[in-house]
Amino acid sequence: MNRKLDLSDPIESNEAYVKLLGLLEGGMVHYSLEGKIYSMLPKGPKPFVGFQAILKGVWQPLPNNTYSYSLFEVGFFADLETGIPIKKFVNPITSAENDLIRIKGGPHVSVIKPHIYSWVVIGDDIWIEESKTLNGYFGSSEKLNKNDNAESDEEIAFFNRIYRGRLSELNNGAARAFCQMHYNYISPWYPFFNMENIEGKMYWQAVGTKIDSFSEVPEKMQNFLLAEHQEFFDSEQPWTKTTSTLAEYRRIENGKG
Amino acid sequence: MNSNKKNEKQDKLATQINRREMIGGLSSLAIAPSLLAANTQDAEINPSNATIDFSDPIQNAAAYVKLIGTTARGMIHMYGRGTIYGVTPEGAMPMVGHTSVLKGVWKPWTDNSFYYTIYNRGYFSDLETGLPIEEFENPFTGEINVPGDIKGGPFDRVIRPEVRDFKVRNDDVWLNEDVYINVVNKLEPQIWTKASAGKTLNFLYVESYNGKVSDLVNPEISSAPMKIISTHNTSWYPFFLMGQRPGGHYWQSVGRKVSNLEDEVPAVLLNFIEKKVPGYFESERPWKKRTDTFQEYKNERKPIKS
Repeated sequence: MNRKLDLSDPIESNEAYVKLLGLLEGGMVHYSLEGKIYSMLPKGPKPFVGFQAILKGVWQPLPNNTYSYSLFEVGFFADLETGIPIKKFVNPITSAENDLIRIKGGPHVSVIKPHIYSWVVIGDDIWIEESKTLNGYFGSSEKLNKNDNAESDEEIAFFNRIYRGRLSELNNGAARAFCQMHYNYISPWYPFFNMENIEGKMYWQAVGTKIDSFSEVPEKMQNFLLAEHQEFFDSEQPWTKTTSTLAEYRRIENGKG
Repeated sequence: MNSNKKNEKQDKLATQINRREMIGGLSSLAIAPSLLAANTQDAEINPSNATIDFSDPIQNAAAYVKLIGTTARGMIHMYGRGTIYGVTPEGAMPMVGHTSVLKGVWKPWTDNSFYYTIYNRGYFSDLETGLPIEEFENPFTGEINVPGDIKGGPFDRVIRPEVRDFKVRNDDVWLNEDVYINVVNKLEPQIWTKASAGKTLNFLYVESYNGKVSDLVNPEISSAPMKIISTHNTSWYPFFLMGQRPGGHYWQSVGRKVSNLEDEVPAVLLNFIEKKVPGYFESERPWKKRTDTFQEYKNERKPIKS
């Protein structure tokens, strides 16, 4: 059954948002992302390393037209040419070999309340963008372990995500809709690249879509999940303690890996 | 500018071109390329009406051209809109909006190649209303910036047979394409102290194209529907007057190949372009002399002392 959503109404705008990004009736939604990290140096930008990730959102409808979701992510850094997962990386800037870790994050819990979102609608094309500046310490655990004032080393990161779908799907009676996600993240150097005091930053750029089944997961990611995260795709709670790629790196640095 | 004045401006711009006139005029020109009969390149894409062999350089190039342009001789238009963010070590903030219509003039070239020329015209916009602006307050400096118009091209490019990394999932196809360059700044920092970001400029352009495999294999279609998301990480535009302040801007745009100008491009933008460059949408050569944001700034402004 089709009904035209009134995107100027906070409840219906929220419903459209949940349907585009997640799932109205609750449950798991996965996105498969593939992209590159670029080094942004004063002498110019260049492709640095590839990456792939699977994002899992576990959605739940709550009373009063509110929804919550928990976000998890796993993934790997990849060879720029072949896309094959790598753990050893010859850094093209320092020429040193870096030991990389895997991408892992979550659970990050968000609550979505009725709100008028800034939709852009052109014909059947509909999209929304979200941006945020993050402040934090992006270095290794060394300074944290020494109880130095890591706050003085805080740096900024910036993400911009674009979610794009079809208005006709948001208006139809189905609980979920197609969504293309464009992921952009500008960050300081991550510590496992051992960039020391080299001036510059990283730009992470990836594109992906909501996927309906494991069979739609790209082959290299399927193999990665089967080898290292067998429970991830089917589990609504693949782990409980909140983590991030940086936290995982520090944990490994501290010998707890 | 208060909201009443903005509304007046929008109404004025929207009525400059009568929408009925546009149905038979501008939009019919934009539709034309996708309805053109298949040419020989199309037959090579899909001789058996099956699938595209993206590992074949000739098929790959023709699919690429069909997605971002047209394999026939003709024009395509792409509409886009987005936001420019300033990214500095202190933080990131939205600075100004932008919107434009990019024109690609395509022709089949020799040896299974294609040649095209692009032009771009549009305006910088208010972050809230999306309407054209003549000035805005820079959130980093607190100064009033005057952005001028968006004007670029003609830029020429030849698409040669090669294997590009298309990603296919069911009937969806994606291609990410990046360009990264470091060039000498036309605005010398000693002279243009506030407008010049330095002796050299950095540009990283990443374009994500999305279409349908079924359109690319269809021999009846020479120009397939395409959606695009672009991100540019570049040195500061001169009109931001950021001098050599650390950082740069992150420019993002969401858009699509236009099949019908009237339905898919806001009237405010159509009218703006038609007023600035009468005949832009019909012309295969709306202007002759190559320009870009930095060149336009140098041509039209005078150095501001810091």
